[in-house]
Amino acid sequence: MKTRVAFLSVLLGAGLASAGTLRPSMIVYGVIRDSYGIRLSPDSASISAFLGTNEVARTTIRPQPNGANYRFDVNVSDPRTAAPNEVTPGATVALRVKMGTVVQPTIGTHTFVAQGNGATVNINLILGVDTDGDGLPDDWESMVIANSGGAVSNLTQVGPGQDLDGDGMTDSQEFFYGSFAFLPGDELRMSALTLLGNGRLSFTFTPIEGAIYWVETSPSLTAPVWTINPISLTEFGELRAGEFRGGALPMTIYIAPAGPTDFYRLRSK
Amino acid sequence: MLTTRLLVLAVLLAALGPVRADMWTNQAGRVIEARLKEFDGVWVTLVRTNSSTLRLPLSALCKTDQRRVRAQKSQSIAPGFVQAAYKDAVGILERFQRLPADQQTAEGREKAVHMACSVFDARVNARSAELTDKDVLYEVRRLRASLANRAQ
Repeated sequence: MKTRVAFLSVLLGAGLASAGTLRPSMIVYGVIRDSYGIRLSPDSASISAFLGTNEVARTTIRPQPNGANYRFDVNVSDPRTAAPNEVTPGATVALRVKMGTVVQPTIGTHTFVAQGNGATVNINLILGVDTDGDGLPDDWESMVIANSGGAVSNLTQVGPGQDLDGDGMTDSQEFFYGSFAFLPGDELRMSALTLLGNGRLSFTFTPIEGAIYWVETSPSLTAPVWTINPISLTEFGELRAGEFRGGALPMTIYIAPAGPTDFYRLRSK
Repeated sequence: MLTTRLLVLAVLLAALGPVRADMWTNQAGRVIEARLKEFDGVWVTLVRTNSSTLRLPLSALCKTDQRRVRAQKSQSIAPGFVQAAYKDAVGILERFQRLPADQQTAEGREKAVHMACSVFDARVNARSAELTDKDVLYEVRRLRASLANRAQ
């Protein structure tokens, strides 16, 4: 009997010791796109966080909430007791993306400043090289040029202020949204607006599968104040304010107009 | 009567022949004789000649037999990153197919295929040093060709 009690106390002691080793950490998450704007799918790459040359966290591409495709915890140590190779609040941490053993170049900010326990940081990365410095990778811009039928011929002609296919979305918006910058017709557009018998308004749009959407409303366009508008995905369903995920097929959205004149817009990230 | 039934059963069993079994080698070089029953993408189920079942992760088998499992279960023998690249490239083509019918022109399809092939090439080329096996290279070329063929 004494042996059992002793064994139990050893187990409990081990448990306490284990609980005591839990360290404060912060969460880093985001979307990693390849040099053509495609969100990386599982098995494509690994992501590491580095403090100097010391790797402090690593993960692989996996679907995450809110459309992210990576997420990891970075331990943050107390600066009074931290070793030189441990992350402390205020330290600059760099993210690196590897495909196999090869570190991939990234565009834009790939570092963040470590914060305290429970902090969350969103870092979105684009792989590739950006020669003209417009935030868009050369691979994607070259592909758009090749598909432009001669309309554009160099990287500076594709970018944030340009709209090659003339569909109302700039090249940059098309890159981040995931639509074709060289094809009109697949832009984010509300269509088939219909006032229904139950007082609701419906519209249809063709989503990018997996993208996050929400509807905003404003009573005026002269001094617009956009707020998130409740929606339903069914004609008589409960209206809820929030985001929804795009499916593979065209989607119909239902809203309840609040006043005689309201303005609505559909947004995506 | 019983003799007749047994005789019929014996004839039937003889006609069916022995259950086909193959030789499988694990990473440690140990060989067993078994029939491949199932593969769910991770776990392999083998049925040994004594009818006992053996369930093991695909990675426990030698590289050659890993490919054989995928081939017998009609799965691509390409590495995970190639399959991920192919999946993302196919996603581009599926996005084109969801466009309104009047937007799905031959020229538009050709451009979408060009983009899909570019994505596939960039991802695969980034790790081309890992593609040394000739069977795997053949499979990569087959996947690439299947993308390009969608332009027609």
